[in-house]
Order: sequence, then structure tokens, then C-alpha cells
Amino acid sequence: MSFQLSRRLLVLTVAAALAGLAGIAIAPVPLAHAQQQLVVYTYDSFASGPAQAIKEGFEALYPGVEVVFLAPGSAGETLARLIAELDSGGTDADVFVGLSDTQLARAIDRGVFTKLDRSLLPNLAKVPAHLDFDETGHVVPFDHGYVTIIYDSRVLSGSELPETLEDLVDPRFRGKLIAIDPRTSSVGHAFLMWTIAEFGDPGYLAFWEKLAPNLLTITGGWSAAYSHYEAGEAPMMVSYSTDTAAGVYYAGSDHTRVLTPMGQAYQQIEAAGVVAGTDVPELAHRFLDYLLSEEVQSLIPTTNWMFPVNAEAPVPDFFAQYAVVPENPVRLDARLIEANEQRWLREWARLITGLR
Amino acid sequence: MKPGAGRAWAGEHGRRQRLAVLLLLPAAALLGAVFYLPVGIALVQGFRDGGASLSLARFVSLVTDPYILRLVRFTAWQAFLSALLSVAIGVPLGYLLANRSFPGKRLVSSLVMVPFVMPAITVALGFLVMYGTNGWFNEALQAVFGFKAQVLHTLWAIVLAHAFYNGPLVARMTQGAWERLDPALEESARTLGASPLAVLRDVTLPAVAPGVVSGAVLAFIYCFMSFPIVLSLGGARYSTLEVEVFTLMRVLLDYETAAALAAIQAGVSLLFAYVFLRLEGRAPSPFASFRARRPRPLAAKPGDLWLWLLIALLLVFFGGPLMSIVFDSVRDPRGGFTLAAYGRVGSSGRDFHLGAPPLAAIQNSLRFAAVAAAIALAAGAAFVYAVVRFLKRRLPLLETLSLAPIAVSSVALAYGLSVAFRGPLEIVPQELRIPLTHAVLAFPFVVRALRPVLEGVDGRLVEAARTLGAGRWRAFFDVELPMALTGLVVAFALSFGLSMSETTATLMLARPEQVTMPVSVYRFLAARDFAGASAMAVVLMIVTGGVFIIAEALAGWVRRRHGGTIDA
Repeated sequence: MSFQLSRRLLVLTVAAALAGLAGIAIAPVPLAHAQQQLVVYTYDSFASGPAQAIKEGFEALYPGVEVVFLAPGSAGETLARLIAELDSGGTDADVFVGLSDTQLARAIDRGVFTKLDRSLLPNLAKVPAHLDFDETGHVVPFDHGYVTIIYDSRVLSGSELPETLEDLVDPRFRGKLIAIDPRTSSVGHAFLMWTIAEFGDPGYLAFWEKLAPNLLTITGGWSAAYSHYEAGEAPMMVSYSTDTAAGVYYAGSDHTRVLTPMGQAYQQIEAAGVVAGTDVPELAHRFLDYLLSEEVQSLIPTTNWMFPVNAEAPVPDFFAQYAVVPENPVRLDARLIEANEQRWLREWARLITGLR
Repeated sequence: MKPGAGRAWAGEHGRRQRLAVLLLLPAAALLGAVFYLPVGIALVQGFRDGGASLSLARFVSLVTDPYILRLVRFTAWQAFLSALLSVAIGVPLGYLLANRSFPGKRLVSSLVMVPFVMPAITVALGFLVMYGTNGWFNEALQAVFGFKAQVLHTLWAIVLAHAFYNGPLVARMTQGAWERLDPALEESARTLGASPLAVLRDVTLPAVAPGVVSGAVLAFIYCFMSFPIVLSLGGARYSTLEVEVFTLMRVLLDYETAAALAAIQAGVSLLFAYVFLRLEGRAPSPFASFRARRPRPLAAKPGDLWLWLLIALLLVFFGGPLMSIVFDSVRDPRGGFTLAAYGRVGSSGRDFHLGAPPLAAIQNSLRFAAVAAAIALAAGAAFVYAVVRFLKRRLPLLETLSLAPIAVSSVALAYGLSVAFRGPLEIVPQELRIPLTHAVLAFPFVVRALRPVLEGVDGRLVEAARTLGAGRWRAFFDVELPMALTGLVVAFALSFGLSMSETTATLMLARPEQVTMPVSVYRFLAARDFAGASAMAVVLMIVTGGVFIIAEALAGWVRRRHGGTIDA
């Protein structure tokens, strides 16, 4: 009997201890509650980059406000989460930062953004008109950059280099270029758009077919591609025109150089907007204006490796020296992309998987 | 028959049935709410025809599309090859763990599941250092044979990486089944004059097969759903169905076609699983044992030479990529080596995780994984116990359905969950959402890990214990539990590991402060901090390995305590 009892006691004690542990494990984490919260959805490298400084700066300007950044993945994935949330009854997001210009039409059609009150955005006056691409007035640009080909100058140089996009299909570059999947990466997407702008539709497919033998691989994202490139798997890669500057900044080496065939590179403009249904529209506008201030814009080069849109924002000397601005930036019209993107991506995937 | 006997039997029968239902309930509730409901929400879109009515038109146009069929064929082919290689690696490893002893074996069997938790992108980076053109493997080839082999960007890179993940899984499941085979059976068969080959065919294989099949089925489904490994190591030429589902759902926002394709994908992989499980159902029931196998030490004699070679090969195959990650974490981009990346992992000042410093990510991961493993183990063990002890029949269909959580596109499931947690599941507290989701994903692993082992425990032993006066609980704790121990440890390692590595659903559901270790790895990469990402992956490796070592040590303690009963 006493044995039975003590055994039961033991079981009870263990169960209580486990329950206690479980209680601690699932106890809600106490959060410091600010009077007002501003929830900003963005993409991962923005969260890893300038977001922390922006949060601190904005909270200092507006005491009592807490900025919460949420970054579930790439710009596309973040937008997908936002749309899924809006479709199923609502989102916590007040602001979306990082919409690529190619996604604009789709986002507006899905009712993601509310129209902006431009009188609340005085810093917009410092943004050149050619960057302020949204004619419908839903979003403002906050940075821009150029997707092109980078190369390792220790392996390729001078006359060996391709002079045009068409040159990339030359047999001497067999297996020498790393591309990125346009379906899973905005860099890959931009490069595909560039080839469509250059060779037309359906001419781009013939180009990719000839390019295929020269592609060492087509990775899912920029990080995998860049690590292949850095490991010396191939001397050329689809990437950003700021990569020489980043190489100087991180590794103290300028061996990575930027190609701008015929002075071209594909221009990406990234935008931010106020999410429809937000209960703090005015604060959201103030945040967008802060995003456009010199204070934030001067952080963009070394934290996001893009160019600021505010013409008055100072940039570091080395950035001004090494980051390449092409003479003839290429862009496709967002409406054209919206109308054809599904077919383009599908045709591209059919071609590439058929060439295995 | 005495009048009372029938009623007593009926009473016992009814009680057993009630108990069986009670035991199936947690699994039904868990899967019903956190899996079938959200998946239903996500997949029903595939049947929508624009209006209120439903149609199959979308399915017909998908399955008649040669491109989609090509994707299905390739996806199944690479999954088949991957499962095959996983078995080829896992079975010998399982043999070693169950039957032989060698220095460091305890450590090896604790750590063998570590590859399973590594984030895909980290494994891809590890493979680059290991198998790249200038990688260790090719440098060795060059030095010894004078040539280099193209491993990356081929189907073989994908298959190798999948085996890196799934070989340990097959090994542990094989080990669990093998340990329950009574060595006396093999010995008496030999004594009666059976050739070693006949013993292997008629005694050993039928007993070990359920474990191998369990591992192979999981490996196949796992690889069928693969996505980041395929794109990072093979490239877009080797796109799988999951890449297409991702594109439709996350890029083109075509939820309807995505849902239809995800339904086809789940159907195909479950069909394969069903066929496997049917095949296994035909195998004779295993030869149970309550005798522990006494592992023979590996000797320094010629007959054991090939096993030593095998150990060396396995060490290179699993250790190589893991060491590559460690190597990556201490490499200075400016040249030389540095531990600076670990400083960044440990710092709370440079908080680019927004809401959680890197160390908080460790805490989050551990908390989620502990809760998820507890839920998955409880629901899974009760499910398996009910199936093995009370239903007592092979039910391939029910077992196939229990595998569904890993056969449904994780992108589609994540979408369904994000909708469900804003609708019918809104009452579920935020802190429980991620662990519950991970528990659902771990459930199939728990079931597959426990079933062969529990089946290997002879039910008559339990009856004998009860005849001798032990209560049901006593019999369970003293007889079944210690004997199913390897299975439990494996099930724990799998569910804990799965939660430690999951990112798709976590990213879709997490609040800013709920950063986990693999998510932190991606954050470091997004900040172009490759060394930091590798350092965080190494920390993930160490933390998970530490938990596995503790679990194995606990199991060893229980085994020793029950040593008398098991080794009788």
C-alpha cells in the first residue's frame, strides 16, 4: 500500500513538474506596450540591413510609438503573406516596405494599398521625378538599384569580357555564368525582364536556349549563387551593380567588377506604401516620409546596397567610387509585366527544365 | 459456455474498444484541427471554378499538360534515387549501430541525426566546400587520381544531399527494428543447418524490413517535396513540383492552380507511400524478442576490415559537409581565420533580427521544439499503441493518411494555416501555433519510428506480465516502455529535430520576436554575413547534438535500470 502510494506520489510529482515546465515554455512573453504600434512588413535583407536604425530613429522622433518590423522572406513572399492575410479578414501590417516595381500592378489590383496623401510627404520633393514611378499615387520609391553581370577580374579581363548581352552566349563562356531563378528571386526576375526588353517576346526564349550551355547553374536565390561565385565555381554571375562596393566594404578587395553591356543594366525601383485598412494612416505617412529623409536615405548604400532616391542624401566616398550607375538603365513597363508575367515565367521554366 | 462468460468477454472487448478510441483521439484532434482543416481550406480552392460551384477542370488541364507530367516524373525519379541511396547508406549504418560495438559508438548513435536538422541553404554551402570544383573532394581526387569530377549542379548532387538528410533516418529506423530481433532465432536457424544466406533471407530480413520500409517511405516523401536543396545544388533545370507550387502560390498568387497542383502532388506521393506500405503489409510479422542483442565488438581482423572501411566512408560522407560548415564559420573574407562570426552570433547589441537577438533565437527554437516534440510524441505514441495493441491489423490506408502532413506542400500548408489561424483557429494562443504546427509535421515521423519497434515487442509478454499480477500501467512501464526505448529516442530526435529545422510554416506564422535558429541563419545570409550564417548553423548543430546526447544518456539510464528485465 505504502509502495503504491509513494509510486503514485512520484508519478504525480513528475507530472506536476512537467506541467510546470510546459507552463513556463508556453507562457506568453511579456511585451513592453507602447501607446501606439506601427507594424511594418518588409523583406529579409531589409530587416537584416537598415531596419534597426530606422526603428530607433523613428521611435526617437515620435515618443510613445513602437515600430515592429516583420520579415517573413523575400519581397514576393512577404507580399504573398500580406495578401493572404488581407483575403482572410485582416492584417496587422500598417506599412509595406520593399515592393518591387514589377509587383505594383498586382498589389494595387488586390487592394493592398491605400492612396497616399502626398501633402504629408514633404521629403518626396527631393526625389527625382523619373524614380517616382507610380502614377496611381499608391506607393513612393525609397531606393533603387541595377541588376547586371558581375565578374571576377582575376579570372576574366579586357578583351575576354562580353560586350553585349548577346556575347554571353559565346562558346568561350561555357559553364562560366551563374544565373538565378526568376521564379524565386527578384534578382533573377530582373535579369529575365532585361532579356525580354533586349530580345523581345518571344525572342528572349531563343536567347535563353543559346545561353543555357553557358549557365553553370541557376540557383534559387542570390546567397547560394554568390557563394558559388565566391568559391570559384564560375567567374560570372547575375547580381547587383553595387557588388564591387560591397566587396571593398566587407572583404577589402575590388576583384569583383561590374559589367554594363552597352551601358545597360536592369533598373529595380523599390517602393513603400500604406496598407489598406490601417488604423494609423497618419503615423504610417510620417513613417514613409521618414524613410525618404536624408537621415535614412544615407544609410541605404551600406546597409541595403542600393542607391538612395533622395537626391540630397550624402553617400560614402567609396560607394560613390565603386557603385556603378549605368548610362542606359533598362526597365519594362509594370503593366506589360503584369499582363505577361505568368506566361513568361511558365515559358521560361518549360524551356529550362526541358534542357536538362 | 457459462452465461456470465460471454458478457465478461463483451465487457472486456468494449473496454478495449473504448480505450482504443480514447488513444486515437489526441491524434485525430491534432491532425483534424491543425492539418486537415487548414489543408482543406487551402486545397478546396483547386476545385473552385470561379463561381460557387466546384469542378475538376483545373485538374484535368494540369494532368494533361506535358510540362506538369515531366515535373511529376522527374520529382518521383529523383525522390526514388534519393530514397535508394538513403537505404544503401542507412541499412549498413543501422546494422553497425544495432549489432556491433566500436569506440565512440554511443556518441555516434546520439549524433547521427544531426544532419537532419541542418537548414537546406547551410547544407548547400557545406556541399560547396566539400564537393565544389575547388572543394575538398575534388582536391583529393586531383591529388590521388589526377582528375576532378563534376558533382554539383547535377542530379547526383541532389541525391547525395538528400541521402545526407535521410540516410541517418533510415539507419535509426533499421536499428530500432534490428534491436528487437531475437538473436536466438538466428542462432537456432544456423544450428539447424540453415546457410547464412538463408538465415538472412528468412529470419533477419523479414524482421528488419518494417524498419527499412518505414525509413524508405519517409525518405521518399521527404525528397518528393524537396525544394531548396534541389534549387541550390541542382539548379532550376532540376525543378520539382514543389518549385511550381511555390511559384504559383507565392509569385503569381494563382492560389487556385497552386491548390490543384498541390492536391495532385500530395495524391501522387501518398499513392507511392500506400504501395510501399501494402508491400510491407505482406511481409510476415516480425520475430519478437525481449532479449537484448549483445553487440559484437568490431575487431582488428581481416573479416571486419570492410566494416572499418565503411565507418571511415560514413564519417567522410556525414562529417565532411558538417566540417565544411564549421570551416565556413571561421573563414575570414579578408583571408585567414577568425572567430569574429561567433562574436556576432553572441552579441545582442547588433540586433538585426528585430525583436530577438541571436541568443533569443536559441531559446525560441528550444522552447518550440520541446513543446512540439512533447505533443507529437504523446499523440503519435497513443496512435501507434492503439493501432498495434488494439486494432492489431495492418491498416495501410490509415497509416498512409497518418503520413499526409509531410506529403502536402509546405507552402500550401503554410498558406492554409495562416488563413485558419485568422479564422476558425483564432482561439489558439500565438505561443502554441508554431509548436502545434511543428507537432503535426513531426507526427508521421513519430508514427513511423515507433510502429516497427512496438510491433517488435511481443504482446504475449505484456499478457504474461499481467497474468503475473502486474496492472496495465505497470506492464506498460516495466515491459513495453523499456523495450520500445530506441524507438522512443528516435521518435523524439526526429520530432525535436524537425521542429528545430522547420522554416516555411514558421516564417508564415511567426511574430517578430519569434525568430528561430534556422530563420536566424537566413537573416545572417540576407545581411551578406556568410560566416555569421555558418556560425549560427554550427550553434544549431551543437545545441541539437547536445539535446540528442542528453536524450540518449537518459535512455541509457533507463535501459540500465531495467537491465534485469530486458536482458533476462
